[in-house]
Amino acid sequence: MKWKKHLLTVLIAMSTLLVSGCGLNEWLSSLSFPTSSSSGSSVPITTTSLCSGLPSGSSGNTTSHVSIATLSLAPSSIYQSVEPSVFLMNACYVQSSQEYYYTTSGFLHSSVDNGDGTTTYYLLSSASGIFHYYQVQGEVLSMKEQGVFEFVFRNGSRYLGEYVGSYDAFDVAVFALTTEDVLPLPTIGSSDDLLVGQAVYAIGTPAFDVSLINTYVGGVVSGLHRRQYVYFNDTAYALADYSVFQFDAPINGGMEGGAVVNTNGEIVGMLSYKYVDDTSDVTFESIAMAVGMDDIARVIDQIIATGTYARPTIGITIMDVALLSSQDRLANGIYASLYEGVMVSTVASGTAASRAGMVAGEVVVAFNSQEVTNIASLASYLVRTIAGESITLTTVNSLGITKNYTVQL
Amino acid sequence: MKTMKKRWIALWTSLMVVPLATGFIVETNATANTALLEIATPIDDAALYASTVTSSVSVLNYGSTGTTLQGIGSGVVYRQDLQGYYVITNHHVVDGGTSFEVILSTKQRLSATLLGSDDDQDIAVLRLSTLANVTVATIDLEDTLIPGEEVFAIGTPGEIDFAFTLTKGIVAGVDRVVDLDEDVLLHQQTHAIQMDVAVNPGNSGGPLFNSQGKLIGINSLKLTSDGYRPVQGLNFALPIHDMFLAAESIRTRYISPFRLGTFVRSTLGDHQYRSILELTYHERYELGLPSEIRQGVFLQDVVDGTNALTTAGMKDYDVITSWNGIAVRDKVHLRQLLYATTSSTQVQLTIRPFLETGYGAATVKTVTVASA
Repeated sequence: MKWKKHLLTVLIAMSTLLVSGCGLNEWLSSLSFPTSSSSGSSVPITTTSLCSGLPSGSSGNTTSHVSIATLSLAPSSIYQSVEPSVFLMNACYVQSSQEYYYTTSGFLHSSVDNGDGTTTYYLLSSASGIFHYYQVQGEVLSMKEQGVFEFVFRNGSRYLGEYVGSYDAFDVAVFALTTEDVLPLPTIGSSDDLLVGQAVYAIGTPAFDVSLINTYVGGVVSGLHRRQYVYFNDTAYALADYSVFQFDAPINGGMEGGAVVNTNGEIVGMLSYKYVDDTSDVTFESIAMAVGMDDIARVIDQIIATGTYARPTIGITIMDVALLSSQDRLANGIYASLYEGVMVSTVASGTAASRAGMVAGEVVVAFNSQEVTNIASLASYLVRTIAGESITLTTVNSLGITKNYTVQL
Repeated sequence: MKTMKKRWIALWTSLMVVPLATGFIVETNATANTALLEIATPIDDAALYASTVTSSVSVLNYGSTGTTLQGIGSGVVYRQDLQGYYVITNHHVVDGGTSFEVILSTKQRLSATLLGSDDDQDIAVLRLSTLANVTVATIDLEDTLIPGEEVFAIGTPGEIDFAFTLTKGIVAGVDRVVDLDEDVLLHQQTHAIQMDVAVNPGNSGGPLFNSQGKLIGINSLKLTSDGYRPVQGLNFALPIHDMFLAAESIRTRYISPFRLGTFVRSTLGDHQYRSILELTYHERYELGLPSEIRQGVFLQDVVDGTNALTTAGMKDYDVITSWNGIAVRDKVHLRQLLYATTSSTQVQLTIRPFLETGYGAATVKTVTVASA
């Protein structure tokens, strides 16, 4: 009887921000980032197409790049090979003798043989939803000490594990479990060579409901190098310093952390968020975002070793040229024919940028000779570097003069 | 556990199948598509549509007065005999109606006779005259669905203008349990195919076909909210295996409009049945459930009194792990095994009994299946 009563008092914790999707208003306001002019005008929705992920037209190369479709695995074969590595995670804590659960998705990533018959597996999930969940009435619970993490696979096997660390800008959280069982590690693929239009599939558990465990949905890559705003509570968010890719499969709350798979059956991304609009009857549909596995690969070893990732910095505040209004372009002296790139708003003193002699008002157009079209592309190059490395930034000033700066990160 | 209220809507549009062949076609030797690393093959969707749309219909419900159009659904023709063509649709499509019409893919309108329906299985069977210009859908009773398989739906979403709408997607999950109410009695569980095929109100009762054009399910439900915000693409069809069984029960028991056919199903008794997978870490901990019990069905709120399970000596918190030697995966699997068994049959259930000292060793109980 005690058990039965207990059962009825088990609550599912509510989180109003389960997927770190941003409402239309939040999203629009976040498009007008800290600008020197306070125009603050609303940005037309059509500006979302500015980073299409296609090669920039400025390259002047009008020859279309035709790739022959390679043989793809049948979707059901892809599911059968990847799904055993995908799990549902119950993040739990106890407060006032009630258990609270947050249900999300994730997948096995790698393992270490402990030499004593046991193996430690590292598992990935989306960080933002879990962080939000462990912020209870203003109090931030320690995920390491107060969190209980249970990993449930569709075949019914389940394990307890612990929180290892995370990197907020990639929305990635790493967990570990140690077991004598052999768990099926997935094949991890590359996200850097994804193409718009290629088929991808996602596996995760929508609607926070174990009875929908490892739901399988499909779509195509809709865009590359998308900006990402990672939300950690209702007001705070970080601009992720990398690019994510967009795809059009129907994704729902609870699937964050799930696997995005290519037609070779390789995991190429971790599901992060979708666009929603809580303020309108007209909802966004099938705008799903995933973090590329190549980006995650660059940071995961450091997360496992230190609990987080120390990213290299340049020391500038920046704005996307493509998001500037005509007035803003004039006010900032943007060179007339320049419509892409990253404008340097300010250069902080004592940073790598100020040591290199960079000045505000110039527009960064290349990073180590690779074209920079927007903040996401600059960030995605930056994340491929390590602190201490010297890189070359190419800028264009208001007169159209190109300049190279050598910056030690 | 079920404090979060999800918003389910039934798809109040019916789609009927209008096959031209005589008799129903059941293929039992479907090739299993379980080969690993199968290469994707292109499918001629237009040809599939052309060959299946003739078994699909729109269902018009003229309400209790029989004169005012109350709602539109979809349906599918699953059988033909000397008395006419038989259409499967959802109970909620015909609910509250006394007079029904169907629209065929040829635009022909015919009146339809209701042979009976079942609320819990959400099925209804209608009969059309032998003159209907329809084909009979080919039914695949083999349960070989795998997530990722391409499937398509035909139905009448919203209004008659949109009749015979084709939508396509993949199977997103199989053997899902859809809790329409917070009730967890076995016959009230909905056993469903999950898919990302776009279906809308009006698609209800319509067919879901696989890439060979075989009828595999009846589109019936969609989840519209996860309790916090709207969701998309969480759509469900009831497996044709269950629907065919119920349809044949209704059809063969129909006597007259005053004595409609019914779905007679087997039962083990009214308890709460929960899949082991549903139990949380804390629940398992409190129960002391051994970690090797990963699948099966957990019993709760076993009523005092006599029914099949209590007669066999089963009680609260016992776990059913197998049925006549077949490992029971979860509650919809148990339901499927039960419905395939006629009443008065004896079955051997392997259980892990809940004891004061923890869970006991596997024990076999002989249970006599009853009828509900």
